[in-house]
Amino acid sequence: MKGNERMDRVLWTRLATVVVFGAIVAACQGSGSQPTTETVRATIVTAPADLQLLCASEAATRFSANPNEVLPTSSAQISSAQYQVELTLSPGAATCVVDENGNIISLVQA
Amino acid sequence: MRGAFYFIAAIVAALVAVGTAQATEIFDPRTKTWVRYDPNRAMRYYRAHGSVPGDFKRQVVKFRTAEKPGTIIIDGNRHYLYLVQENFTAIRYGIGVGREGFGWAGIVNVGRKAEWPTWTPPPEMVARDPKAAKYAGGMPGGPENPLGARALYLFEGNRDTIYRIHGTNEPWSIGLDISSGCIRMHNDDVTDLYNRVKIGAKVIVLMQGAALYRGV
Repeated sequence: MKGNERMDRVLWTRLATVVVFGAIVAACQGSGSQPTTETVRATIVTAPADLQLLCASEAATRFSANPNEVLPTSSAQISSAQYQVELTLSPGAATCVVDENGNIISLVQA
Repeated sequence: MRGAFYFIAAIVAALVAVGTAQATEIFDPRTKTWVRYDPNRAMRYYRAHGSVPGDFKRQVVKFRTAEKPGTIIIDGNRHYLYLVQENFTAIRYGIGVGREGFGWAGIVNVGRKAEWPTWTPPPEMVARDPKAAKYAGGMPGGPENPLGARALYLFEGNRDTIYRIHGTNEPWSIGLDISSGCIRMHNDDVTDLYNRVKIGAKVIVLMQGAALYRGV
């Protein structure tokens, strides 16, 4: 009986080791920044097009500009989850900060 | 002394310019490094796989925008063309765009569409490119024609911008900065786009640091 209990403990210990090791391996693979297949990227990181246009749309509304005359002219990633977008208006310019969920963080007319 | 200073300053400026130039990179899973996706590599990739990298293939993606369905959004930096659909989605296509100095940004519209269009190189291209000069009078549509299977002519108001969204006889060139300012697509993709887009559709071209066209 005692022998069976010892065997069970050994088996459970081995199983736990396998599960923990597997979880560590999965976590390492999941958190890697490198893709596993061919994929592409631009060397200059710009804001996704839809986020740039969300800024343009918001600027047209807030500054009563013609939406067809508000154009994003440049953008850059300023943190892991935020982008800054420069806009040209007619007349003038504006700077917008938007997060990756599409929330406008700030919008200032130059 | 001052000459040496300007010489060094010019070299530094040139290096900075090269370092910040727009380019596409592709991840090589064999070497686990990002490598430059230039015309030679693009040709080799196309020859080996029979297609462009998966990211440049036509696909439906999430796209949060207030623009109307049917609007075309061109992201010149990432080499994507989006056709806005209902429910915050878009069809995304891979594109080739203008090489350095030939890129542009602006808000224009589709003024005209054509199937297997005739290619007539603009006078500036005829002047600088002997291959184009041969077709100064126009090259009939067909598989060898650089405009490919379809063309959407981009207008600013009622004025032709001379820029087009068109097919290509060089399908490997999708994903590159390679054209004289036109937006090039795979022939299957431009045919798909042509069938979905109406005359008058708004076209927004985003391209960082490029000259501006503006106003529909």
